[in-house]
Amino acid sequence: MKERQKGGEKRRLQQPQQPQPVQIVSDEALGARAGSLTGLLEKKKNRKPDSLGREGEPKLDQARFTAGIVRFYEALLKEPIPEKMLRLIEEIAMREQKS
Amino acid sequence: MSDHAELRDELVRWLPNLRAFALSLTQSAEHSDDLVQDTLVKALSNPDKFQMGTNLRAWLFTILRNSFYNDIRYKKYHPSAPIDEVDPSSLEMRATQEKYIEFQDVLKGLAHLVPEQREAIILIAAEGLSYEEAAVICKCPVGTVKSRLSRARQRLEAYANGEMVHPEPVS
Repeated sequence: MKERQKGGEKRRLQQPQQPQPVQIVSDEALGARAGSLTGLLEKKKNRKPDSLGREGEPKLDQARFTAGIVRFYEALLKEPIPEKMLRLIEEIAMREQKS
Repeated sequence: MSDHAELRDELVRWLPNLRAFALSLTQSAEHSDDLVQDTLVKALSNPDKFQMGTNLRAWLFTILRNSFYNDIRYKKYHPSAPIDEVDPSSLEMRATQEKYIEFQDVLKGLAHLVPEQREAIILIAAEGLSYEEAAVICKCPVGTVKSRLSRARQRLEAYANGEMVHPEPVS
């Protein structure tokens, strides 16, 4: 399953319709991000046990994930508004004003 | 300027937020645009239900989420082809490659939350609303918003640790 996800991610990375401009990310950075949510969520397997050999509690890097959500949302806010939506507003507003 | 013109201008102002909220909720570009258009029609056709000077964003978000949950209920009883998932490349956002990967991570994480948890995270973290404002939009007590956020974090942790987890119904 994870292999499939990795394959899917690689394929997506190779697709020509990626958003522009594309910055080259180092192999190391890409490797660190392989798998699901590795960029934003800390993987259990990457956590080191403490001095007594106990594994730490599962931990979500919430601050980074929240920051990711904020950046994603900010990018959505900058999306251009489709012309048809603006036209729709005008049409309904005019219709309502007449009625 | 008439109330109608004022409402129209305010609608245009909040349109990006409506679209972002809808996309975060639905995870589908097509469904989110339908929802936003539905919201616009309802808002402009019922201006008397909004009091100028009060919180227009909260009113619009409430309309949008009501439509969303109506759609979910309808689809539950009228199943059709699964909705398309959002791929950041389908958006016009000019993301760098690193951001593109990060956005995919965000979408994957959000997709593992039930809609009520997703909207709580979006309203609080992304829209910057207070718990009280989010509770008004979600039509639930403040404590419920807090508990949905907490459950969302637990689910994301479970997902991060490979303990997944199918969407659960939210009471």
